Formats: sequence, C-alpha cells, structure tokens
Amino acid sequence: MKCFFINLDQAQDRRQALEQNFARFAPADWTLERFCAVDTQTAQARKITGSLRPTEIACGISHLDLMRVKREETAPFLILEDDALFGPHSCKALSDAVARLEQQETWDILFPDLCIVQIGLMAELLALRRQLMREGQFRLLDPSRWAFSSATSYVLHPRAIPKILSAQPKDWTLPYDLLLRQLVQQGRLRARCIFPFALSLEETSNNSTITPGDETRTGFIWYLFRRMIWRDGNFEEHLADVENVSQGLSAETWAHARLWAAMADPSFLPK
Amino acid sequence: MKCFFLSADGDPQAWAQTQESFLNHAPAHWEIDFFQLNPKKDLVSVWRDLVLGQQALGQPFMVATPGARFGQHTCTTLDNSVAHLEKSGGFDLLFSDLRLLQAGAMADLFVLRRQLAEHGRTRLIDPRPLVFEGPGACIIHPRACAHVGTLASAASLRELIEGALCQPVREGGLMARFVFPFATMVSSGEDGIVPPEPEARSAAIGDIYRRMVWRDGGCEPELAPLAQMSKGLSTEAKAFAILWAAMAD
Repeated sequence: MKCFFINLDQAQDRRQALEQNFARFAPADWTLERFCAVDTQTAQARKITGSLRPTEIACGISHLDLMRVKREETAPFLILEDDALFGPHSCKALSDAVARLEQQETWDILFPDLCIVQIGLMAELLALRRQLMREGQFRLLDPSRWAFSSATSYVLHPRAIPKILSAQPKDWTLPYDLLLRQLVQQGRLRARCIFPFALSLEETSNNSTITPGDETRTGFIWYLFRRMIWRDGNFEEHLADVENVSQGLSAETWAHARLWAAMADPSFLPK
Repeated sequence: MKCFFLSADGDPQAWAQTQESFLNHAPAHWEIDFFQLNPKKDLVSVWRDLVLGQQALGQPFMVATPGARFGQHTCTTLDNSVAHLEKSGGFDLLFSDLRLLQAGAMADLFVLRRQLAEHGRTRLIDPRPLVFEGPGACIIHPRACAHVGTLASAASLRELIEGALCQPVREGGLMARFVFPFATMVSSGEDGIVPPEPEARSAAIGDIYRRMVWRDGGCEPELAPLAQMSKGLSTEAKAFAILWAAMAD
C-alpha cells in the first residue's frame, strides 16, 4: 500500500520518528512518501480565510493539496499525519480490512484510528476489544453516528477524492477532521473504521502543533484512550498518566469510577 | 394518583419501608395501598383483576415493588411527567426507575444526569434501545390495561413484572418512557453485600447505579458496597474507568 505523510519542513523529529516506526513495522510492498505540509505563511499568502486558527487552516489545506496531487491514484492509499504510530499488527490488519471492504461494499474512507469522545461508546469499545482480541479478529464499524474526530490516519479510496475536494470550504470554519466527520454523518462519504484500531498516535500528539497542549485536559484523556485501546496498545504503559489524570476528581466521580471499573471488568455480565 | 404496593410474599417490613417513604413525601392527592399477589391463588388472575379494575376507573395508576422508595421530588416529577406525556400524544407505561445493564448507556446517563441536575430538569426517555429490566415502580395508563392485564403465566412477582411490563415494551407492543434522573429508587438488600456470583453481581451493580443516579439520591450511601465491589477488579478495568471518570468530572 502507498502511504503519504504530511510533515512541516521544520518538524524533522516527527519525520524521523515516523519513518523509523514505518521501517520497523511495514512490509516490503508498503511505501512511505513525504508530502510537504503547507505552513501558516503559505496559507495566508494564498489568501485562504476562516475563523479557525492559522495552524488548523494550514493543516486542512495540506490534506486537500495532497489529495489533488494524488488524484490519479488508482488504488486505495493511506494518508498520515506525522504523529501516526504503527505497531506490529498495523499493516496486516489494514491490508486485510481493505481487501474485505473491496469484496463486500462500496466504500470511500477507512479510519485506522479515531478519537472517540463519548464515554458510553468508549465502554462498549473496550468490551468489544476484549472479545475481538480473544478471537483474533477485527471488525469494520460504521462511525457515522459517533461523535468522533481525528484525521491522523485514513485510507482513502480514489473515488472519495472528488467528494472531499468538492466539499472544500470557501471560509474555513470547521477543522479538517470535523469536515470529514460532517461528510460521513451527512452520508456523502461512506466510512468504516477498523476495530481494534490498527494505528495510534505518537506521544507528541498531546503536544500537537495544531491544538495547544494545555488547551484541555480532556484532550489528553482522549489521547490516552486511543493509546490504550488500539490493537497494539498496552494499558500498563500508561498507568502513570492515568494516575495523573485521576488527581483531584470529586468523590461523586470516584464513586462512579468504581462502578464503571466493575462494569468494565471481565467478570461483569452484560445482558 | 393511586399507588399499589405489590407483594407476593406479604413481607410486612418491605411494605412498611415503602409506605414510610411514601407517607414522608407524597402529597394529599396520592394514596398507597398494599396489594397481595398471592401465588397460591394464581398470580396472573389476581394481577388481571387489579389492572382491569383500574382500567374501569380511567386514571393512570402506579404499581410499586418491594424495595421501592419515594423521595422529596418523586410525586411532583411523576405528576409533571404524566401531564407532559398526556399533552404530547399519551403513553402506555411510565417507569419511574429501571435496572440498566449496559456500561455504555449507564455512563452516558451519568453525564446527562449532571447536565439535567444543573437546571433541575427531567427527561423522559424511550427505554427500547436500552437493555433494561426490573422497574421498581411504574405508572400504567388505562389505555394499556388490556395489554398489561393479559399475561399467560408468571410464577413470581419478578416474572410478572417482566412479562406484563418489560417484555411488551421491548417487543414494541406498548409505548413506554422512563423518567431520568429516576424518580424512585430501589433499596439495597439487608446487608448491602455485593454477591460474588456473576449474574447476581451484575444485577447488584445495576441497582447500586440506580441508587446513585436517582433524582433524590447520591453516591455517599453506596461508598461501602462500592469499595467492597472494587476489590479484585482487573487493573485494566480500573485504568479505563478512571479515564471515563476524569472525562465526566
């Protein structure tokens, strides 16, 4: 599979980290090509306007520019931001998922990883992950009714390119990932997500160049969930961070945490 | 509103506790009666007589099961909910609480409770998409009595409530809503111990949850059973639960 990653010239550390991570886990028939991200000055010079932060606008333009350049591609390809993270099972899971999709349905976009923001959905995904890991299976889920975000990675079918390009806003009022979500929720893009997630994101993402790291503690919690729930994730690596976010919780919240822990435990029998 | 306390075993203590909470909180236009469902006499026919008798009176009425408790806001909330539903197309059943057993739905409702509590509001929710059982109390509209009263068999009060009230809703035969935050609650057992057997334990978790999210409740009385319950849970479950708790805080 062809993979293209978006990377700012000054973000050499991220470039190196992703290239090394890819080299470690991708099979020989997978390729990785860098696409130079549009920076904020270039975006401003192109007189692109909107109410978003300049970094968010530049990020969206980068994704769309990449699509324009690759519009002649004939096979599905993977678009990555430079904080995407591969694991030992990523490439096989993605290859299998694309093969299954090509056999079964007409699809536009496959998300290997999403930022989920609903607690209830997170709880259901944890139970589903446990089941699928036990069976050694993955599932292709329809995210069109979820509140999700993230464009860190997605496999694009070439048929989706004109659909996304035609949705390019004149004024950017929605970040690119939420634009994708809107297209999915409106039924203009047929999306699936592979679960357990096949990819995740590097730790640098919680200090993303797009979203200020101190903007919300919530963002860090979402990030932790993505690192703990993906196919190659290991919750034990994140226990210190979990301990950190638990500081200062109210007594009521702790009581519910205990109840949710009981429900999240394998001993709980859902009906 | 007429409320019938249903008892299959005639346990005077359970009746006394429900009656006490009722007398402490119910306004004058509410009344409560003890109703013995004697299993020796055929549970189903006694139930049918009760329901069809109330149908003839033409007013919504409540049935409550042993353990049901009323609080400060119970009756006002239910009166307002019935009035609202009557104005907006009517209803068959109005559950004042339920046992829910899906972690996802329970977590979402916890967040919703906080939002509603901030504004002192209540929401009437369709239970059909949820996995539910064991309402502690339910208001039955006269229009639903013919359906509710025709039950083939029930060997216990639990089976009767399941077959007459829950199953028809799941199958789409009756239109139900539940009040959220719950307007009533179901008390814990004698000792408050969470049983170790998986099925009973899951039911106990569902009951602790409904006591924590009812309109007049909170988590403090549940801290001891929660502490006991959290012993022996997997580290993974605890880690995810802390994340969700941090999101909900």
